Amino acid sequence: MLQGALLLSPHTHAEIAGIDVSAAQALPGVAAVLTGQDCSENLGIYTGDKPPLARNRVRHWGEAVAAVAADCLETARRGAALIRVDYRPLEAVLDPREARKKEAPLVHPDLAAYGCADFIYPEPGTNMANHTKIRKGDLKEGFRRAAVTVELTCSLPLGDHGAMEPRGAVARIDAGGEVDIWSSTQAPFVVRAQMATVFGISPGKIRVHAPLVGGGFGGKAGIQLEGLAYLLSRKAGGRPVKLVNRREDDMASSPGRIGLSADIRLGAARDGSLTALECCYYFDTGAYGDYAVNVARAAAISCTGPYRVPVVHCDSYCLYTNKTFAAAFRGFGHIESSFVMERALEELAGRLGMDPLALRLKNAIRRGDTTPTGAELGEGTGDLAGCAEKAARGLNWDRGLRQVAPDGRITARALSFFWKAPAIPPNTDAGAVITFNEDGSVNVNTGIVDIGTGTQTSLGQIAAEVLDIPPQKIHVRSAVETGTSPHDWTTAASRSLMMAGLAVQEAAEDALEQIKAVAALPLGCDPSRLRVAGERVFPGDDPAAGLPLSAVVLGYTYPNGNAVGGQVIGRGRYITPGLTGIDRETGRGNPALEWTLGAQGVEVELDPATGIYRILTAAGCMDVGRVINPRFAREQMTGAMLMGIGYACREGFSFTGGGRLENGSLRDFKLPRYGEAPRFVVDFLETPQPDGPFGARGLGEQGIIGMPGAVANALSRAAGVPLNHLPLTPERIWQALEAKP
Amino acid sequence: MRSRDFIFVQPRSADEAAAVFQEETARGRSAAYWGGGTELLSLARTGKQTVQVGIDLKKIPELTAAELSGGVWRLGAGLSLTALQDRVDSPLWRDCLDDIADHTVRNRLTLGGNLCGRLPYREAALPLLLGDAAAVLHGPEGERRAPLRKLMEKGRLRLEPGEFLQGCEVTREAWEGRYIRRRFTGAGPVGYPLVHLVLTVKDGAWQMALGGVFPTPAWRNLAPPKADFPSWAEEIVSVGNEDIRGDFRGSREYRRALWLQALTAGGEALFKGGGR
Amino acid sequence: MKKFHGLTELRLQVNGESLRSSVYPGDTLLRALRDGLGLTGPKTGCENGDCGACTVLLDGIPVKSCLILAVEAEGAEITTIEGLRGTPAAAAFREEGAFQCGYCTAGFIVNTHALLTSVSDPGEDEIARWLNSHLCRCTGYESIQRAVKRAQKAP
Repeated sequence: MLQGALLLSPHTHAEIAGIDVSAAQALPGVAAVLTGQDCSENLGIYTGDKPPLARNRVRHWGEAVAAVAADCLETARRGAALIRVDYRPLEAVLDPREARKKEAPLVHPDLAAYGCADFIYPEPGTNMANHTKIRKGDLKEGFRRAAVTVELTCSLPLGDHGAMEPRGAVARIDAGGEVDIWSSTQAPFVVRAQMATVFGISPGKIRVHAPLVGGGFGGKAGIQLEGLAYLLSRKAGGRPVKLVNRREDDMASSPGRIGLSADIRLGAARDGSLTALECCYYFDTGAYGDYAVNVARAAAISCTGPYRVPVVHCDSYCLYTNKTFAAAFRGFGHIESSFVMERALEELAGRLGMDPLALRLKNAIRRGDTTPTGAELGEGTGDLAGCAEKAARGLNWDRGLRQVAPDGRITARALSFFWKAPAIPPNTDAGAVITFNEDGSVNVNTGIVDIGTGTQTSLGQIAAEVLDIPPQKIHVRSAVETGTSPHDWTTAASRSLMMAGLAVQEAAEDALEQIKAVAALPLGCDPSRLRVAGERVFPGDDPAAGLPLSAVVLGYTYPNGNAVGGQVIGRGRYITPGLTGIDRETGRGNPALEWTLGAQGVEVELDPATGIYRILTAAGCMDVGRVINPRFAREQMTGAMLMGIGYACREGFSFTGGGRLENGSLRDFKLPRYGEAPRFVVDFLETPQPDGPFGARGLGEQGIIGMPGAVANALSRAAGVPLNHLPLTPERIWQALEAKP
Repeated sequence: MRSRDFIFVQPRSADEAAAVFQEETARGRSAAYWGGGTELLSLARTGKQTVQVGIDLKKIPELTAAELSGGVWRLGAGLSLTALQDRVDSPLWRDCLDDIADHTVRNRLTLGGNLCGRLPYREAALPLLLGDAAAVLHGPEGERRAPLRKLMEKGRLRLEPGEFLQGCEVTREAWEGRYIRRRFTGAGPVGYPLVHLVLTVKDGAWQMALGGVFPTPAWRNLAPPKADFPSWAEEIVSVGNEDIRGDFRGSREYRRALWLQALTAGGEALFKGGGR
Repeated sequence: MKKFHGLTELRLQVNGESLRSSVYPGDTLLRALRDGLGLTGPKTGCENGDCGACTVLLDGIPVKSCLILAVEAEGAEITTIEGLRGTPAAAAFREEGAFQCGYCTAGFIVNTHALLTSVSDPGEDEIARWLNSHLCRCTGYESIQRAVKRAQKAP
């Protein structure tokens, strides 16, 4: 197997005047060398703005400029180092607000020429990758009705997903032109689709294999290194090529999560009812749009948070800058919009003299209320007040919001309400195939990738429930292969359990029908008279009178050898019903399948002399419709909450003035470690989702969403100064305290 | 590191090590003395340092001994920090090493690596400077000793070409007395220090060793505080302000503020009979 | 004086077996174990000593195999996660479901095993001191803490 290595750009923004690969090609052991000239097409999940390797221009420090495949990793690296690139540096833009200005350098002068999904609206001639609008109600009137209005500016930087397994892919092309890709991916079918479109290969001739994946968090959705691995293999005559990111490449060269600078204006009547929201988001997608153009859109769609706001005006700008670009990340726009809204709500509570929890409860969204896009919340609307009550109790809310200890340490609490709907295409699908083994055990096959959430086990539980077969006899495939697994959109957006769960449910029910049809023949009765339970199929209420499933699931063989029926193959499909896009001018539409609501908060202890603090407790309660697996559900919450704490407290890319990434390693991009986690208090409520499997709805991302707001609110309360800019490192808090008059 | 050409040698004596270094250097190869290798491997992998010959010091008896004899601690530079913590029964020594890198890395990170490597923090130097340790060096000319305080006057350990640190010696007595230690990172328990302050008092004499604040470890004798701890600390902290390090992990102002805060609180605590 | 140069045949003692391994002196122990010997339990999370996913035992002491040369491990007893089947640490992590994606898990189990077999009854602080050598992005660490406690209590 050949090993691949990348040459990354040492420049932030530059023209490529020339590339000399001759020394690399001449190096013994080098099988293929690629530059941007080797592929004339662009990749891009929504906007076709990204060449697999920089072509004519590099747009961020760390962008891949060339790739080498060689007989061993060391030779590949050495080969890459021998490539001579003639760069002509260009002026760079590093801030999204600056990027919006007329005089800003253009990151994509050719924006007009890119293909683009029809719901993404770039503005050629600018750095605007997408502009999403919400225009609900009369803004002037809304603020006229407000007795109190708050205005804030908030920000958060670009950051990293920090999955423990860096991205990597293996590609191989056989003599017949069939392509095999193995990848640490959340989206094998998207990889296939992108490669088919961009490289002109029939999808049936591409097999993408997704084995166990060492964490994704959105960063492995879309297409990552697979295209490059394929191109290297193609240049090397189809020989297998393995291309794996070093951690530093995973952080700087592959995408991270989106950054934001935002202005918000929020008005409320004297009694606390919200009257109007105006917000302007300057999202920073870095050098390429990737998923981030849709993240910015999702933020607009969710901009109010789970609150009733009659008038909403939002402009969400997704702006290009010359930095590491952004992809999907847990929370997908909802975490960013939540931070902004939750800070504003806290300020508002202060101005109104209202308890922050009471203010939130007063405006908590309910069934029948509408979202920013005008969609009405239906039967599956979670019990937000109930969630808030549990979360508040978990935080010892009744102890009071702020206490000062004799030694000067300050304890404070804050809560936020959160919501999320999957930001998905209106035709998102899942599928399931159920087959049986000769002992009556079951194989469940879906397109869901195992990224560690335990979804496979939960899908097995659903099959077990419908078939009445013990879970130990249900074998759920953990590896996806696009040629044989049922089609599935992507393992992301907290929709796998719900959608694949419904597909598994349908497949199991389909299997039951087939079992009955086969068994009806030897049992000599109408299938409608048969029941399946306890691993037997039998008429009426008489299990002894029936047959064991093992005698039926691969067809039934009579004692004389005649066989009838054939094997049972249960089929289930799901496709999102009734979803639409949103109107370009008003944002009106029905894009959200279902909303999962909840409340969460933290208790912090701050040392005001140094800005150093601890998060003592993190509590959260979310209404998930139905808890399929209590242990996994809890762990999605704790994992998400700690990720949210990292996001709020310390994570963020640091770029020099020249655009070089300073903290692109796990040594300096500090994820929370063992021993740092707070005490977790986690609860779930179950207001059933009528169209979910056994009433369940999505829950994987939600635990992160309200954390930045809650942490910022608690620390702002503790410090006595508004803290609106993440990450809230001790130094930032100390600086804010120093600046306090 | 050019993996396929890389040479790794394991000399059995200090003289042999110094000789190999000379030979290889004379041949035009870049040679490096190898302790735990934790830093060298990281720098080599990211292309920040090229090493063609690694000279492993861990098979040399003088470098892997740690013992107390005649009231003097002899600390071999080839021992890992956790091994040195286990074998050296001094709370000050043990505490000061406890936050360097992380526990698993400390199982390999050697005293020599920490003191002589490229990373500027050299936190193992803090207790050694406080104890007025002697550094035992070995080079082409053989063994020599020098006070660590003198060798580290300008920050980095000043070695002659081809020299390596064989070990350090410090009297047990020098590590007696009471101390206060405060260490701050930008965030979290594992990380480079913004401030690592060690304050000691022994027989009325006050000393301070400081890591993280300046580009290299600093050591000073201090005038004892009286009652006004903030002023006492402010005066100490005002010396050398221009050199305080600032980077994305922590600004100059913040490091200074943490140092001042720790010094004030620590000074008061020690003065009033606290500390360890 | 032992000198390693060029392709070298090593005998490595791994999980109680003597295994033949062909390495260059500059190869890390992690790469030798994974690429050479097919022991893919220890993982390449960062190859910089930051994440702990590569942790193995060298004569019972946990070390980050990404920062050790394979040739340095000659003569030592190397233990990888593959050699810890059935130990209280491994059993406890499985029973508590103390993992999600599993990428960090081998490192945690190896270090937990070393901790519990070399320190009698470690307290919370001592456990944190050993185990904050590791990063986990998925779990929030709560189940891992439970697993360590459970392994402590095992007979």
